[in-house]
Amino acid sequence: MASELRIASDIGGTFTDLVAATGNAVYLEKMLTTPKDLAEAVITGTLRVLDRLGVGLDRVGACVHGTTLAANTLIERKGEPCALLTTDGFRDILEIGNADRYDHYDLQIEKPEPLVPREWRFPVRERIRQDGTVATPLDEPQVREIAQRIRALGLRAVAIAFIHAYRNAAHEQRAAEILEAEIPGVCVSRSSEVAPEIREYERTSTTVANVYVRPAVERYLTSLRRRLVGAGFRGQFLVMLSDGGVCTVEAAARVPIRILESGPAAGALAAAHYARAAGLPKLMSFDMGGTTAKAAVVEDGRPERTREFEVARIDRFKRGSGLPVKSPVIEMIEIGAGGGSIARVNRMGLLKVGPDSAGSDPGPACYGIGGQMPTVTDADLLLGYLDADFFLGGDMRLDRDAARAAVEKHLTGPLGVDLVTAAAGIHRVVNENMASAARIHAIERGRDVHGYSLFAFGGAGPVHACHVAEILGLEQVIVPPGAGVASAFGMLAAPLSFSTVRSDTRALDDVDWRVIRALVDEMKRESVTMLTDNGVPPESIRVDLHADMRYRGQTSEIQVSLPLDAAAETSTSRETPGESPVATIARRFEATYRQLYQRTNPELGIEVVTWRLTVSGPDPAVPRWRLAGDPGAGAPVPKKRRDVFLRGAYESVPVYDRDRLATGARIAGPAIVEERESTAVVTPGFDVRVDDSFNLVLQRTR
Amino acid sequence: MSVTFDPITLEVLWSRLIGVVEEQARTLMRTALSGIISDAGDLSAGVFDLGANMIAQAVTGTPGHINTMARGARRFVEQFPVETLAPGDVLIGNHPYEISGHLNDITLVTPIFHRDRVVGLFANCCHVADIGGRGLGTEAFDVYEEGLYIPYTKLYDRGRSNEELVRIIRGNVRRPDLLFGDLHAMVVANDTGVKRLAALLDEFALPDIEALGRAIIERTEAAMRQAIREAPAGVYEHEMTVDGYDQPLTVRCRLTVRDDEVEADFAGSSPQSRWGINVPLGYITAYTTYALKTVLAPDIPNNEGSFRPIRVVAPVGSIFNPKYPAPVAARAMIGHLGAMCVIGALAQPMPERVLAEGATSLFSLTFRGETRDGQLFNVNFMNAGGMGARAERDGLPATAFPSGIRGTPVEIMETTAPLFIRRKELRTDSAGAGRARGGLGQVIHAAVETDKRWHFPCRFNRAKFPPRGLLGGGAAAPLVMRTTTGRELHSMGYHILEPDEEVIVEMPGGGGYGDPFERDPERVLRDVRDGRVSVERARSDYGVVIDTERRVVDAAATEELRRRHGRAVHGQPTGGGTA
Repeated sequence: MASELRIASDIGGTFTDLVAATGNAVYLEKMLTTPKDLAEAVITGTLRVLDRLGVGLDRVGACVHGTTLAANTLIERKGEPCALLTTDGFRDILEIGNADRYDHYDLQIEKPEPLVPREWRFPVRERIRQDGTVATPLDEPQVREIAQRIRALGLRAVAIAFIHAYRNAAHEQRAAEILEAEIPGVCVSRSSEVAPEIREYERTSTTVANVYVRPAVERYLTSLRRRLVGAGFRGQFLVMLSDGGVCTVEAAARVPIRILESGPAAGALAAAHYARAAGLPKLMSFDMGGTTAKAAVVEDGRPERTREFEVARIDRFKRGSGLPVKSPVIEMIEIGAGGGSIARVNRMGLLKVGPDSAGSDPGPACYGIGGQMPTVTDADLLLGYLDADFFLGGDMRLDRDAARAAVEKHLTGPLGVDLVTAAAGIHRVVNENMASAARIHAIERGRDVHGYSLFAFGGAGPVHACHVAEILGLEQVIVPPGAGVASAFGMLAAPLSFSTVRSDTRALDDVDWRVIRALVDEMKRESVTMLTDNGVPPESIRVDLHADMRYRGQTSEIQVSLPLDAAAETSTSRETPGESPVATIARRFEATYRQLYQRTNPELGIEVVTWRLTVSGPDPAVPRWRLAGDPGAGAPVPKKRRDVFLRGAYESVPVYDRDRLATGARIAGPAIVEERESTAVVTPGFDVRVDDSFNLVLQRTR
Repeated sequence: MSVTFDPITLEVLWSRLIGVVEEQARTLMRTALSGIISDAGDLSAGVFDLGANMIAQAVTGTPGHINTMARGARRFVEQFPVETLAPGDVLIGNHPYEISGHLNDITLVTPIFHRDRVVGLFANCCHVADIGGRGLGTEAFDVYEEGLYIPYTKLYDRGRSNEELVRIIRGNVRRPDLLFGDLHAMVVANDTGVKRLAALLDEFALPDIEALGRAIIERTEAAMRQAIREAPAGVYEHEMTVDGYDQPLTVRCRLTVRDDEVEADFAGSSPQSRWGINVPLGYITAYTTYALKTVLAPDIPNNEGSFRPIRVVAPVGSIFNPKYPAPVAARAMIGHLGAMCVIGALAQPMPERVLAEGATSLFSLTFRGETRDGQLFNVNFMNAGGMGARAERDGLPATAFPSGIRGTPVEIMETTAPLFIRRKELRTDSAGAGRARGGLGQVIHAAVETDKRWHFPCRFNRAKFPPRGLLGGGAAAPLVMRTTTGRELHSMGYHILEPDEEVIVEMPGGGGYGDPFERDPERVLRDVRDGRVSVERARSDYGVVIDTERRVVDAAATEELRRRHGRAVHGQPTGGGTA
């Protein structure tokens, strides 16, 4: 069946990865990204992979696409100049922010420049109260007059963010209508549509960022689809979302803020897909690239989601230095630990690694293209984890002498240690940094990392995974094939989905359930239609309901998963038949609260602040991997041996070619398993088994 | 037994230890009930050795708590020698003069037991919303009137709650449920630290944290001394005149940088006040240490080692070292100005590293009263004025400094109390002019939707003496507080307002840096177009004439104006012409 053929494309900074999946095999293609015309690499790559399959574009059932375009537009400040309509008296929400400093000790910090200069922020006479009633009606003539000014300025994008608009969208809607009538072709985003959540700074920031990137994203996506269709594509074109779902071009173009983090999300999806296939209830996805490492918790086959993150940070590793965005996103922690992370000795005479990175330019010293500082990759080379002659399958030769010179110049002297100790120190410190970040990330979610398996990918992930697992006390490490294209692979596992949200702060005891039922029904209708319109049968739609809740007096909320009938008169679920909605929701809240904080506060009232609903279609079937090489028969044979630094000394370790490891193959650690884009270092405490999807499953033996 | 660590192992252990205290602080923020802890981050958390020397402290937190808690821990072990402590003990105290400067800051100390032996302490300090008494205003006559003092006692004794103490506390505060919710979070946070630290000691087969603590403190102290040595040695004096309750106060600091040590002497500052604006020595010590670190050594971690080379003194009976029981509830106001004074002194040897004076005072607007349906409310609406300009950068608008806490969203305020905020916006012309401009302050206009009189206790500065500029930079606009009925409000008074009276608070901006007549006219134009600077002030303060029709700089008129100014200032033309 033609529709079984699906192609995922993931545009990254350096490479555009493609994965094509037929009913029974997976094909990879890696293209250099084409920055001037991003679509070009996607189209060329798609045609090239189809060539290998010997079929035409008309046979492709679906294209799933992920892009960093929206994020880069914000980082590079290359979006559409836009105006902002605010409630009169609140012109500077974007600029006042949270009134804090992201670094308490640096007197020279700058805050991110607001996307809308003050001159283009227009206060409007109107006001909604916190209960949704109107305090001041919208001054429509004033909006018309502002519209004319915006028109005269030549601006074609406008954000509208009024106080308490998440409670009552009427003023924002009416203002949008007026703008659209007065300014031909204007692009308007409303806060009540983009992020209808309490907290004016975050909501305004999200709305502005949305409209700022919208024209560019819309142009790009529609053009890409048009070109694919022009080349014969007849299937469904879907866009990857930050929260692990996919949506239509129209939905993505309307709320492009939801695709900001699609790349990392797809990586976590690959992990989630593995967890479901292998029946692993607890998995941690671990993606280590050139600049950063990312970790995400996957529980019961689903990555955790959150609702707020930051983009375009002034200092990439400082929380609070970016623009806040309220939008569903797969929850992950990112730290400055990658192959390019620079090692240096600090004022205390200690070895620090990262967060700054040599990236790919000037790169690690061993790349020989200008990098002078010792990096993680240099250490990995000196320790024998990487082969100077087999980096990127031998396409790039690494310079061992340059790595040694960098370490000796900057580290061995000040630390008072020899070359190997310094290199092993870099490796250890970066592993510690990643393990600590992963541990704190899990703990903040009320989880303990013990019992998790580590799903390691990204160029450097498999090199470091065993050591990180040892620090965390984990028993199992999984290294998927094609570690460098895991994100594109993950996209194929993404279900069609859509999320909606409504803020409505009330004491749980005072909730008018008719109102809430109507609210939830409306959210459900809205999002289910998105799916059924795209051919998802209603009976296969999964609906998840969450509420952000808190104790009265608190100002931050926790996210609580609720049964869908939570707002019904009485529960129909089997766990507690006949329970009232208040009792069900209170019980769920307390259980979640207890998991996070080991206690509850029964004497305090409970409040519901925000309702969230996500609908998703069925998980697509993802075929097994197809092996590029010939595994042959019998026990695996190492292609060679090399000296690798393990257990405090160099020892001779067998090196295997991953493409020649067949399903069922077993290897005892220590060992090295090489593929083109990555190298798995199997430490002495682990044994390897190749499972039937060609994943390396590393199991701790002691 | 003497254990030593190679630099790589020490780095690993130190990072782990910081991870442990960070987890302690995050646990606290996530479990606390009060927004001032969970949202504003008004807290600190750290781990101590058996001598109560702080070894590591969470990055999360605000400077006033960090260093005060570090010193305050000593007092706990003086009262309860470590060898007398048992597993399950939790100590509590809020001595305003010995720990964090006012009664609202409660500190909890939990001993760490490892292999049946006490090996150290975890402590955290939090600002609680209410501690009874008059609370955070300035008007109490002594600390007894300000609220409940909890002497160093056990909140838990071998795991059992001290019920008598609990009853006394519950009977003396307005919201016992909230307070005990926060106290519980503080207990849980220390417990989390204890658990993680024990696991760390096990993993590395360490008997205790003494050797590790010593290594950390020694390395930090050495780095701190080196950083001080790199600063130009000398004696730097600085003085500020600031608002007092009834008459102006002098804040004076004499900074001596000698070899690898710094002494800050606040002699010459005003005597202690009858009002609750006095600053206990521990609090000014904390903020002095903070101010010195921002300029001299921002990258050196906070622990006992970074405190040792710094000495802070002030005469007994002065505003920075009052005699017990002088009232101190609003100690932050003058304490923060003290930090600014230290930075002002450092402007002499290192002008490129400092900033001009900013609003400095934190504008925590407190609203108290009863709702229409009879519920009591007492909320803090956190806001900030502008920061001072830097040598190469404009000051940050509406940003707290030196305090490290966060502002509160309007929508959150309005859903948690019967407030109606009519305006919260940057204040035009509030910043000092300069080659680098100060950051703008903001204006807040707030109404309370109630049918009863409501209370508005104030503890703000800068009404009579606005933030000054640096090296030729201009002063910012002063604080202005009034009601919609035309009443002027005393910036440190306790006000009782009519239900329909609304308050308007115009906060100061930051001072400018360098001669404003040297500011690029295009940047002045940008400020005018953005409404940060008025056309009139562009002309009078910056010598930039704006063509209001075309919204561009009138280059000829600007040049002429600036030339005349140069002649007036320097007695000679700034360019061309004859001398």
